Amino acid sequence: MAFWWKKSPKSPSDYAKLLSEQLNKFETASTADSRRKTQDECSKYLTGTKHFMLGEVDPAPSTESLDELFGAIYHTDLLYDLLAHLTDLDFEACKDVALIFSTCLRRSKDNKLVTVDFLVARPRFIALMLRTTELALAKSNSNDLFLTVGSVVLECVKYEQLCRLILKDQQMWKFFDYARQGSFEVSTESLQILTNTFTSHHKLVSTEFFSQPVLLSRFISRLNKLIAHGNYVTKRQSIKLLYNLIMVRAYNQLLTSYINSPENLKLIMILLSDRSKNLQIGSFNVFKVFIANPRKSKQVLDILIKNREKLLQYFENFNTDSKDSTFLDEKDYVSQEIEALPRLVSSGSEPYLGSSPQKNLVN
Amino acid sequence: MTQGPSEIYELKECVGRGSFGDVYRAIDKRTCEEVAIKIINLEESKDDIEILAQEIYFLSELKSEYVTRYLGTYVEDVCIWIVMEYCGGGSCSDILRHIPDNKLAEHKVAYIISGVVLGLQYLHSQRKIHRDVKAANILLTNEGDVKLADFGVSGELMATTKRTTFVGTPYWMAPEVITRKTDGYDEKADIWSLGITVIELLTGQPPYAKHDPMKVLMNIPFKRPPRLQGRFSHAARDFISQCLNKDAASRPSASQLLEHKFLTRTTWKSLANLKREVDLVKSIKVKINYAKHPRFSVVDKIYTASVRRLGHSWDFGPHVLKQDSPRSLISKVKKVNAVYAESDDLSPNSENSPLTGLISANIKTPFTNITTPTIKYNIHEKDLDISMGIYEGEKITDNLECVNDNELDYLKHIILFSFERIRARARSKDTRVSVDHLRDVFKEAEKSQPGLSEAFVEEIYMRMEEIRRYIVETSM
Repeated sequence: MAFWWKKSPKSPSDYAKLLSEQLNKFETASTADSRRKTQDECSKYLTGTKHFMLGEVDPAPSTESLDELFGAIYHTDLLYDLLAHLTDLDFEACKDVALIFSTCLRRSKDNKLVTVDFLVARPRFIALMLRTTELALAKSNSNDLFLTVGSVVLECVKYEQLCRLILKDQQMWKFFDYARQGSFEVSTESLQILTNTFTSHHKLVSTEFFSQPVLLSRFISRLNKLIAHGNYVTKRQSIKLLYNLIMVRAYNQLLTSYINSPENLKLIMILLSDRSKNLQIGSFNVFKVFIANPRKSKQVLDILIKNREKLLQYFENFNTDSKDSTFLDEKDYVSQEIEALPRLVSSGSEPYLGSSPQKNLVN
Repeated sequence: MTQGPSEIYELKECVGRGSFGDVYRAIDKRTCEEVAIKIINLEESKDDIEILAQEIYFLSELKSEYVTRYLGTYVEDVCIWIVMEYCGGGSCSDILRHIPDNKLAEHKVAYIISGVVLGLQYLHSQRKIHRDVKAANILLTNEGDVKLADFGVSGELMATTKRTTFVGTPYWMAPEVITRKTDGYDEKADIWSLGITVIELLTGQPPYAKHDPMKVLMNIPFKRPPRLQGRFSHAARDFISQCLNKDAASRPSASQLLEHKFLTRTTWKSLANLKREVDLVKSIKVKINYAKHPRFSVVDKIYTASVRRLGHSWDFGPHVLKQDSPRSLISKVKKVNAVYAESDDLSPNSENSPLTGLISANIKTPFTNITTPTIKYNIHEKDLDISMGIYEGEKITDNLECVNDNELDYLKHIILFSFERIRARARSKDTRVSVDHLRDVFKEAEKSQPGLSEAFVEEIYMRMEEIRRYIVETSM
């Protein structure tokens, strides 16, 4: 690769030092001109560091020189500074930062993830990272910045110790808000972050998060809000996330809590009657779990019994052109279960097409 | 995001159609600028939203004046709108189709290719591969500027998507893309396709264009690299032969190609411009009313609250809700919605929520008859390319309306339809006579053996699928 480095750093650690110095210049750069100059300098050093780190220089860097570079990165706390100044950098430089981060995180020596251990010992890094997602949203190029920081978050989530820090940070809850209110990029990336955070390390999430009733119920209400109020894309992604979560064996607390609540059932039934076929199928996947629950709560049972006829009618016409045998089996099963529910002998004979919706309200 | 895209953009005519969705010309109401909008109906798309989102992120990472610029994505109803820079001059294959001789002079080609190589240089510096370089994917602005286009959203570029293994269009594909099994290929595959594209621009067609694409596909790895035939400069021939090196590693990089004399001849630079060609093609397009028929109507939303649809018959569409069932269900759960509703931050879509629209469960969709394999819409643009090479049909969906409404008639809707198209492609009278003859024999055969067309179509379909699968598997 053509390499146009002008002032070649004298030693590998110079990459980190020079970059660190440049980043600090943002603090004092007062004019637009000096900021741009600093930006340009940072871009150059970032590109250089990236190429060196990835071994794209001639001659390829030795193990010792890479050790020296990483040592200097930790020593200068470069990763923290990079994050702190991410919003000052230009578009291509941000992409380099993301690449440098993922390369650093993968770094292992003597079977130890050196960078991960380093960051775990300095929790302020994760805190800054999560805060940066929020700061990014205030910028004019918010989508690009958010995707960059988001990709760093996703990289961190892969490592259990870092994921633990993320789970503990209050800032994590903000991703639910971004998922509902952000642009397409911000919204989908936030849901991806939530998905990965809660599905990558089952044991961690189960023992340290869902085991706490406060967190659990807060989580459910946040997720429900996305399912109820997101746009079409958010709804589809969040119902899918819900289904994936309740199917995780280790998340039994979540499953039990979810399928025993009548409010949750109602929400899922709303979605079942959505006009989008994909949302119907997404919510069916959750609905069937309510049905399959051998110990349904009384309130859940009440709703089902009250809607027995309507549900039967609904499933008779539900996704009839599907050829997926698993789905068809499940649909049969659900129908049978509903069929087996006690018939409601009501004197008030509910009209199907009641003129006033009030008549049909759940008691 | 509170504003829906239809408030920001005014859709004009449909300018392209693909398996992934329709492309429209549109006007940004705020700035009055032209943009191109790709509308993907997620209700009909089989792709995961996550994968689609990855591809959109990918597009958003590309910022170069030689690559069509990504401007943003919006959600409306069940569709996403991907807004891109608009290239009013159309593609280079449009130009080829409409200019006299159907070929371009060397200096014009050098001008185009310079832009493409700059685009590739940028792309490759980002560790990205285009995988489908060809004239049809080189776009021109109204001013005649060159932009590399059509990647990402069609799934071609991401290293993570399932479609990455076998992509491209046979005539332009590098040998290693077709044959390599495990170690894959790199950005040099684009350089091969670039070489083929130069031939295409200079002669009007890629090599072997008259041959069956599948056969070409099988042959590329075994044949000697194609060469430029005819009277061309040494520089052009050398440029092509360097690109068409079967050893990928020996092909020059994009940066190296920029130094090649085919592109650096200074006298050409000042002369070359495609403004004239662009203007010519634009005027032709206006004359022939080029707008395409979109696959999905933008007007038919599934979340409309229009009452006039009440009482609509529900016998159309794959998902039919009984009128009373959802309604009573809905009214019942209306209260629940209030539980989740927050007065201060209702998302804009809650107004469109199923509750307001009640029972208009009428999704208009062309996918009525998905039980028969033959109508599974394998007529995407990409597949079209594979089956037709450089021939681009204009009216492939015209007859599909009738297929929706009535029973599918294999003879009429597929066999005879295809013969008609083949006939239109025929260049000589003799060919047309043969086509007609064959068509008549078919009609006769169907008459005496009803169902023969159906069996025939199914067999071809299954065989094609098999071959495609085979290629996909072996190229992984």
